[in-house]
Amino acid sequence: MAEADPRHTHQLDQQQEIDVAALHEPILRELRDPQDGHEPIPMFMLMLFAGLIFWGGYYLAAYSGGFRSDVLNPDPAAQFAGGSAAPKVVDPLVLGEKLFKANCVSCHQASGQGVPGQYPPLAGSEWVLGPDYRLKRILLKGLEGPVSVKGATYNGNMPAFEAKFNDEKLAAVLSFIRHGWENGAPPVSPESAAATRAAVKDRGQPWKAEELLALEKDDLATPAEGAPAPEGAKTEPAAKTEAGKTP
Amino acid sequence: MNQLEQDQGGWTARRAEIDRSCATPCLVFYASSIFWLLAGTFFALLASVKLHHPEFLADWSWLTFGRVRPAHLNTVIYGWASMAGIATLLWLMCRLCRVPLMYPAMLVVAAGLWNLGLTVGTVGILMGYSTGIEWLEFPMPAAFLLFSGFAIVTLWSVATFAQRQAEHVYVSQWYLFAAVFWFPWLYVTVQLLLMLFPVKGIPQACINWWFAHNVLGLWFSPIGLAAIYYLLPKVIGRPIYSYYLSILGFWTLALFYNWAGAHHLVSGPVPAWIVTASIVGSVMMIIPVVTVALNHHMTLHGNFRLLKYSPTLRFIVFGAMSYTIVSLEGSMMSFRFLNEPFHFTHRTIGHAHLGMYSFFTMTMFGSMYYIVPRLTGREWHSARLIRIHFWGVALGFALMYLCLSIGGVIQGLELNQAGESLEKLIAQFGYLDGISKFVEGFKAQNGAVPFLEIVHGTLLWLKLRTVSGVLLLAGHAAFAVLMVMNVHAWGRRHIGPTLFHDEDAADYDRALRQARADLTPANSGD
Repeated sequence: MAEADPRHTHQLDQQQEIDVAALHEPILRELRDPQDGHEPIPMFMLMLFAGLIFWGGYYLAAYSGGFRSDVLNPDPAAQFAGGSAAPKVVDPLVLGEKLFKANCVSCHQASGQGVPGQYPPLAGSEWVLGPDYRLKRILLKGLEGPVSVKGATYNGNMPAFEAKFNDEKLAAVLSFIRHGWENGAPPVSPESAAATRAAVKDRGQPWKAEELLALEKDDLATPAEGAPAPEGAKTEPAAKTEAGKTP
Repeated sequence: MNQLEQDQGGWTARRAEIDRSCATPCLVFYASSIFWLLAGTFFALLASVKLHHPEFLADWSWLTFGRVRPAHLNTVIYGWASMAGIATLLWLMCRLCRVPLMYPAMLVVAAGLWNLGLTVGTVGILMGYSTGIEWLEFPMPAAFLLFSGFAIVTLWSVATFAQRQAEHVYVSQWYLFAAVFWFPWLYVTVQLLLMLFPVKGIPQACINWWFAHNVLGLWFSPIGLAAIYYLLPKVIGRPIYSYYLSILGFWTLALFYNWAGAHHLVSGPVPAWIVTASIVGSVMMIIPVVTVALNHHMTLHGNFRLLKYSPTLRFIVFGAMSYTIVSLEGSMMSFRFLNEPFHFTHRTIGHAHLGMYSFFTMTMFGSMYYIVPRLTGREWHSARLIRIHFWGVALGFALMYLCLSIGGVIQGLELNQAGESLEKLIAQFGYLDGISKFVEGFKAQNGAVPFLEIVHGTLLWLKLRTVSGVLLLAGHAAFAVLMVMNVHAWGRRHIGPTLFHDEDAADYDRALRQARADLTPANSGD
């Protein structure tokens, strides 16, 4: 066929042939098909690649968590340190405020004023400002029946937080309400909260106000074995009387 | 120009025969690909506008962001890129095997199945039937259609290869032959494990990203590289620099790429070794990439002035350089310390487009500038439209990449405890001090920036990205017009190769002769 005739190269310039030539001009003017040169691979590149492969082996060994399916953290330090990293220090007042906002504000209000006639105030309350052993017991076991606060009588139910708060949280929220709203009472330590928790752990029902008022000191009838001496508690450890026992 | 006739006598005639056999199926694939390119660009623009004007077309569920964005992804991946890739693959395969395409009508059927699958899938996504798995949003029936279309392509490629009459298997063929197996392997595996018999839990994500990342590296990259390996030496008429580099580049790609996908799951609840292995695989990709880059660079070395004239060459060299950049960037981005701040930001979108657009799409444009005139027997009709095409897409892409990268880095730093938003700091301290205070804030981990401030900070970059989308659309429209004119023989017939500037024809000839001046008959193939 004419268009396949190799003599029709693109240098052909006869006017009358242009249509035929132009039809396959792209094919005719093509340069030769690609061929391979045989230059050697540069040595520096091979060195670079060898270095990369060494690095790859090291990285794979160092950050693969022993190829275990249950290890997600690639950092060996974090992986094998276990729980030995220093625990984060939390400001009890910050923690207490957070807990207060999550658990207490709906009744006692952010202002600490409570709701007149329904929920007693915490700000300026003699129960909050006074000795902390009543306060700890209220928070642990709850309070029911009439109670007089700042001259007004309330009759509601304060729920128990024994199961919800650990000692640290218990101390934090108490320290917060004793510190906040210009109350200015001293904080409660987690150790003293722990001691009280241990002392009242067998009690089943909430406190009544008169029971607590009858309590003259932080009566640790059954202290936990080996528990550190409660510093904040205004009592001597020797006083193990029957006074605090549940009737 | 006597070099044509001396190799095996009738090779020129054979070329004409091969091109004639490929003409119909390849043009059908190319024409469809341009249709899907325009559709995909349209969806992309819609999605881009919605990012800064969310109320735009928000009342019509078909065009909500959650649907146009996957519609964009799937039409450009399976419609534009795959169809343009298949046409290029078929033509290159036939040319390199030196045999005409047998039963070309069957490949028109394949194109029909593929188009049907795309239509079903895209309409399915717009109607809300997306599977919700990234890169695989097409509902099940579409996947069957795509797979049957592709089965024909694989069979035909294998048959063509089996009948090859060239004594030497050129590097492009290695990539093409691998790609026609890699793609169905990926697609079938992922359909089985995620759609038909879905695995549960973490392996889902691993398989999803194994697939999505491998489609880039084991389907699009091989075709793009095969086209560059063929066209670069073909256009300038010089041999490829080193056969040994070709071998090293091919086998290291095959060895390492498959590992890279899981770096998308950095910081995810995935066993550490999977992510670490993928980081190593990603970094090892430096080997094939540097190898291929050196091979291409040394082939063109000393002849860069040819880029001034030849559209094919300029587009594919743009693509080849982007391949190097995107791959090295990808290796770096896989590291945990870079991946953690920047992964879920607009920067990743910029990176993805550097690969799929700047590398693959530009390479396909270059290939079409070379191949289509040989299929239709007509030159491109307008140098001006080629210029509009090139500058539209080159500037449009550059703008998009810059916007998404800068905006994404700022977004990433703000999301990761920069303390104050860059916008605020610049308003307060001016540009230089504002930026340095911003970086200091990130280093000191000063705390989270309010989310809405972060979103607000990205708006400028997202609006500029829409502008870049308009430039890209203009380029694509110019190319579509060129294609229609070529196929339908509209307009004045162009004599001689269509260069960027018609008046440069003589200079181009001279430059080409110079490029080949040092070749002896032995190594020039004359």
